[in-house]
Amino acid sequence: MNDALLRRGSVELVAALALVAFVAGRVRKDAFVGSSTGPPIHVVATMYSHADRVREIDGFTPLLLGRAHDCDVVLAADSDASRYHARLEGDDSMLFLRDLESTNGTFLNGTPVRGSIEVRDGDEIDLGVTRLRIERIGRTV
Amino acid sequence: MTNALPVIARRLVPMLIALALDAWMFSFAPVHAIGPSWMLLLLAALACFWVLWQPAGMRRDDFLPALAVLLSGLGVMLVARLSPHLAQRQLVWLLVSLVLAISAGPFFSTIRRLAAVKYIWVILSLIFFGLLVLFGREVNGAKLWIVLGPVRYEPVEIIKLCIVFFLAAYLSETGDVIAMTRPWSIRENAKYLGPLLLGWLPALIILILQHDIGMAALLLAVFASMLYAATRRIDLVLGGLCVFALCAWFALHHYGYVQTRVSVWLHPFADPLGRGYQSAQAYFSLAAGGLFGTGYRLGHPEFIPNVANDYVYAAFSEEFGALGGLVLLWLFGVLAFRMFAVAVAQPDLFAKLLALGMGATLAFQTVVITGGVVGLFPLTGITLPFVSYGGSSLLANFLLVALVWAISARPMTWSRESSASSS
Repeated sequence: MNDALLRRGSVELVAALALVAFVAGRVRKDAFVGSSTGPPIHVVATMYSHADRVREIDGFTPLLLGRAHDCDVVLAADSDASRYHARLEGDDSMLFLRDLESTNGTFLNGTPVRGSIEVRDGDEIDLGVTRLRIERIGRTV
Repeated sequence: MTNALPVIARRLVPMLIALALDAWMFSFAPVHAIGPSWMLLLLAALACFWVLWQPAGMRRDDFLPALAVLLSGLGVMLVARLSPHLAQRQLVWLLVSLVLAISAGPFFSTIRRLAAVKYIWVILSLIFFGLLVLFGREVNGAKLWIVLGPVRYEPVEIIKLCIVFFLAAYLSETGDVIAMTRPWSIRENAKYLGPLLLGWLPALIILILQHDIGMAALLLAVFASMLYAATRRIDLVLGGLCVFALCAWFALHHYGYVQTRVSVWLHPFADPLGRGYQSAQAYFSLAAGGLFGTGYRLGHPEFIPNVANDYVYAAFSEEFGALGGLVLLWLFGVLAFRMFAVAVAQPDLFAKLLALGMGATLAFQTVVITGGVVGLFPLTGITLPFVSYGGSSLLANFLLVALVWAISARPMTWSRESSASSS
């Protein structure tokens, strides 16, 4: 291999690497921000704390549930809930509940949730001392 | 579903591009310096298997393993040009790293369950230090290597990862409490920062006793950035900087080799044929490269002693030019940036801090060594991740990327492109 070829190849290689860096550096926003890219699903739920009705929840997925102030549903008074406890996700016109490795666990109709599980109308979700009763799921598709 | 093919293609495309670029690089290498060809095919197959073997229904940032493979291929190309013998060893280490990264995959996928066990990482790193004290061998004035027959391993690289694990586990539990503590309350601060320092200071002390200032500085920087991310308390970062300044001052006055490094950094041409020889040759090498470089295999980076480990950035810069050097840094920046993007997207603090700490480790390590090579800081003997010759570093960095890649998993959902391809 002669010198001219090596020299040209080196410059071309640097150009190719620059192209790769440029492409790989353009992180697609939707690839990381947010948790779910499924179509948003309308969720209406009632929130109970120690069996007392607290409030009505009306929102679109993804809904992050937890004690932290930046959650979509803040369980501020619930000391048994984790800061990021669980998430309601819309996925292919179905609603899913995902436990975010919470300390005290998430329960769907009394059964502990491992990973992600489908939620239907009338289901009851328990996190900490809070209970969510899913009143209505509005499918957009 | 008809989605299966696009999913596989999407997972594989970044890796295939990286492998194609690697193959192109290797075609410039000296004949028979890289090989045998079955070894390269095996490595390529493993790399493809690595990105394909991930849990179904999840989507990960597949650029991370691809960038790791691209950069390590670049490293093999550079090392092959400097020493074909070392390139053979580097390929074997690459094989070991890939196999370990693949086999650690299932463990990394369930890493969030380990948020509660934090002291196991301290114990693990102390075990490594113990092995180092018992079986360590001193090389270049620093006792860093465990030698087992033909295999030499530098456990500090793995300890580095253990410490990030510990910090992530501890800070994810106590970060909000530390954040609310008033800076002037000694008792409150001691309560929560105490265990943190207890878990972390021994590592630092032993590092200094082992004469590895570069790694100690790296760990302090990672520590400060994780602490800030978890608590947003700037006073703790400033405190960390003061600790580092004290350590540096102590090392400067008590360790002759640190003194040498600093005086070589300040006056590289005071003793150009003696102590300053290495860094003076590196500056000549950078100057010879100019903006566009001499071209691969047309420069003389082999004049720099120990070039494949510490000065690989100078070797690259000489033959591919200052522009090539900047592009290499750009690639590292992209890799770190994608890791930070993974951290930002995590809902739980443990995974967030873990991804952030790993990204910061990679970024700071790159900055510390390239800064040392170009004369921004005194040179410290840490490696340029993936590119430098050295199995310990290669292995640890592949595990690091595999971990962040596993963290980046999120449920694959009904998205536009998959609906378009299925209809």
